[in-house]
Amino acid sequence: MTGRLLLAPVLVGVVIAGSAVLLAGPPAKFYKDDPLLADPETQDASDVKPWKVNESYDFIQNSFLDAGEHRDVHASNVNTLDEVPDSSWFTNRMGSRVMTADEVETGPVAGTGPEPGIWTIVSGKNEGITPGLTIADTRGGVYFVKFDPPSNPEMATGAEVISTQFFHALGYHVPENYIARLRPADLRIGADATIKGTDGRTRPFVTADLESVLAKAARHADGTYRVVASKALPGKPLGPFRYHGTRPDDPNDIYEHEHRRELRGLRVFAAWLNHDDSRSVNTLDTLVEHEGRRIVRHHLIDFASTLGSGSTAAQKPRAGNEYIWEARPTFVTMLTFGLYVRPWIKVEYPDLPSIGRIEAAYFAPERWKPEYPNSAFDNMRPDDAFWAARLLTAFDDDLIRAAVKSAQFTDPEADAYLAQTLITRKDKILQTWLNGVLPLHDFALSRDGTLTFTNVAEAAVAAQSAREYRIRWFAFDNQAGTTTPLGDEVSVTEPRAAAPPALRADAPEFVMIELRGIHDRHPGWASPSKVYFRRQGQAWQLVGVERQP
Amino acid sequence: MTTSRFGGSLLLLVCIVAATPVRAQDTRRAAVEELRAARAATVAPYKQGKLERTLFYIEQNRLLERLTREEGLYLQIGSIQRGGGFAFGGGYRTPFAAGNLVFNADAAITVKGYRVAGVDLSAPRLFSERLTLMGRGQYRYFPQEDYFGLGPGSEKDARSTYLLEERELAGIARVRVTPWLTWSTKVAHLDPRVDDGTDSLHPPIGELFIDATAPGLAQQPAFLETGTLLELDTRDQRGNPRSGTYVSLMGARYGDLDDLGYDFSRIGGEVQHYVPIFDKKRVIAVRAAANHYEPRGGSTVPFYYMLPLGGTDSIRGFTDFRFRDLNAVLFNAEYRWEAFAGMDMALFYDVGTVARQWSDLGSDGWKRSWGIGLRFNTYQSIFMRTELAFGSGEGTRFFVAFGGPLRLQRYLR
Repeated sequence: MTGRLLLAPVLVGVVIAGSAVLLAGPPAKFYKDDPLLADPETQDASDVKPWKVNESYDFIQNSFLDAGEHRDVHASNVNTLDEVPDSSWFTNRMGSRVMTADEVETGPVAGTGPEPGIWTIVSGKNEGITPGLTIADTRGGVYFVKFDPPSNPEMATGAEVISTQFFHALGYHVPENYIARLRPADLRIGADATIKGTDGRTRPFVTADLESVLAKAARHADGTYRVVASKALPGKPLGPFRYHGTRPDDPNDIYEHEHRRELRGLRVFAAWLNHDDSRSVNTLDTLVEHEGRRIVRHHLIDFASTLGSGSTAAQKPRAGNEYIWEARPTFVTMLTFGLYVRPWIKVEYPDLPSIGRIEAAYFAPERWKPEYPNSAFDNMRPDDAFWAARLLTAFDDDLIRAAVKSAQFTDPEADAYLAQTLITRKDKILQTWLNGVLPLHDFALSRDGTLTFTNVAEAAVAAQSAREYRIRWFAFDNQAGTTTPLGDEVSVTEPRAAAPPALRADAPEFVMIELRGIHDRHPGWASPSKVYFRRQGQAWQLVGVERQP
Repeated sequence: MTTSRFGGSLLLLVCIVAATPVRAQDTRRAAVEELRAARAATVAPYKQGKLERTLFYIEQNRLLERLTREEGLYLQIGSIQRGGGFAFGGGYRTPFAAGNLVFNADAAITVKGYRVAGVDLSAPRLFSERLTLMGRGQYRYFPQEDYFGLGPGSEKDARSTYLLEERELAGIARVRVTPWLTWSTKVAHLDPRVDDGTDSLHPPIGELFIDATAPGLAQQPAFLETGTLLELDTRDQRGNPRSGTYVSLMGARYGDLDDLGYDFSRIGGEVQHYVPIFDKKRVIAVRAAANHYEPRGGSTVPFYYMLPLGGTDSIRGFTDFRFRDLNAVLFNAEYRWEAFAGMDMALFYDVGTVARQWSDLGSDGWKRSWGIGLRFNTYQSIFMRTELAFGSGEGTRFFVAFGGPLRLQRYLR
């Protein structure tokens, strides 16, 4: 009897629960808090352990072992507006507001850099290709100090600072980098200063180590050294991030890195700034406090191999043009006894030691390559590229000149050449990557039912006007995901269109608008974009944008 | 009653649970939070694979750096003598006296049983690093050296094997006059010993040659070597030059300390020039070298100190040490092209000869070969190469060698 009494309510509950499952159906397309502007990283990551990435393995894995997933799928971490929400990876700066030239030139800098006066050496690095020192200034600020190569004064430090400003303005987390002067007489070797010897063991830092580091650096006529002082990042260093997969012990790292929009789109910025060294070893994760918990913040670091700089010499001509290992040109060159000459070998560069090797005439954005394959870059789709290129449109010529100015080049010709080169490279990028999808943005639907939008490519002079835009309106059922046409397709030549009478008469909760552009030179514009608005009283809120590549 | 109440409560609980939407989240934030909560339950430390572990081991133990390291224990792999086979060894180098003195000791052995060991003490920082003084002792044991006889007409079939064992105590002074001009002098006590070789594939030297055809075979005196070397070097890098010129001139005297009749002098010179094309992605390299031995007062020059031609560093279509005599000239030309950053290819042509008299050089014909090679390299150095050489008339020759081509046996080896 007791058993029956117990069984009955359980059966009833199961039936009701089953019905609820059926009734609930698939999740709605838009949640009530869409679009999400910040990615909620709600898990405490205190248990994440530091790791290292082996450079050789990273090269082999990315060049020969097919690292990461290569799939033509939409970026996984974008919000419903097809934008990247703020997160531990990225903060919308240039993309969300207008930045002034001063802001761009200031970059991530929050202080004044290392205090002039006595710098105490904490440790040294004389291994690898870039020697450096870690110093503490009189205020206790800790900085990693890097130098220019003797052959190219101002080059590596200039590239480091300029790229820092740009990547910061674009939204990435970067260190504070300062141009500073190092006077050998102001250096003191700390009592506990160490350096890793060639045997891999840490030993006391001695005067000979300092001499060895300075011997590889550009010394100015007054006996000083121009350096870039990189302020230690806040938080506990955890090692680099990879451009594929996730960090397996980070509970917040739920999106495969090769499918993150900001890492796919980084290819566009890397091409612009010739950041051929955009690989795992030039990144750093740190464990930081955030909203009462610890999370992993992801940084791009070490921009000494950007622009025309190759860190210890001018950038190699191959940089940006070919992977370290690439089968086809290698075999063609082998079999033709060198008679086949890779075209980039013949590119000429101006003799500007503080700039190194960067140019804009031969540069073709779609051909640009990092040192070796990067699975996030490989997965970049036209909609990812559009997202990045649209951010670049915010850099007008004055902003670019302001960022270049932060390098404090003594040669005005160098200053002018680099700024113009970056302007030209940007223009090429916009022409290439704004036009892969229908380049519309800033969608708005007014209370009176007028749809307006901006053609980003046209505004950036990267394309001429569309011959026409074809627009279809639908009522959208958010729960069922179904659409109901609201009138016939209309064609407009201006970036505005009136809603069909059916919408104005009986406004649904959601409306979907499908747009296509007709352009003789840009067939990609014909791929439809869909925008979604949610009714809020008499007003319409933009809640969704889908760009079809 | 109690049961009924319990049943009712259970029904209520189940209904509440059931009435809760299966999609528990009404917000995107909640949905993402749920994903992260689920992941938090499955996080695990990263596990390295075998390849990654191996590469980390190599990196953390600095195995590659130990091949070129400037202090502490280091490894040596590669070659210690042409034809000696793959070598493996190690050493210990340490600066002291604030880096003004450097002590080094090393030893290596090859798969063919070649052995070398040495110890040296140097002062590299004198006069603002313009003057380097070095004292050293070396022991060399080369058990399978080849000897074919003297002159350009020596027979390939006359290949014999000999053992050369040598002890050297030397003092060397090197002055860096300018960054591209160096002058060195050397005083050394040499104590060589020659015997039958151990290569079972070829007869020992004593079976095919006597002292008249292999001067110095019967007895070997100790020598006092005094010499000087002037070097002009504008190459962009020594290990894998792509531009610049190298010129060396040397002169040395070998005094027979046992009065066995082996007093002689040696003069030699070499010019290398590298012409870069296309940002050094293509290079034309040429080398000319000459060497002359002058017996003094009726003495004889021992065969084992004659500069041999033929082999991996000179005329590549011939076996190592194929030709020897009192005079030698050599010309090499290479066209190199970079296949990719880690490998160059080269077409080469070698020509040279030896003769008893300087005026007879070439009268008996020139020794030639040509071929193609692969060089596995970094920008700064070539660490291994393979060459396929033809045209010598003595068969096609394929070999693997460590280090770059165009390296003659250095005077101050």
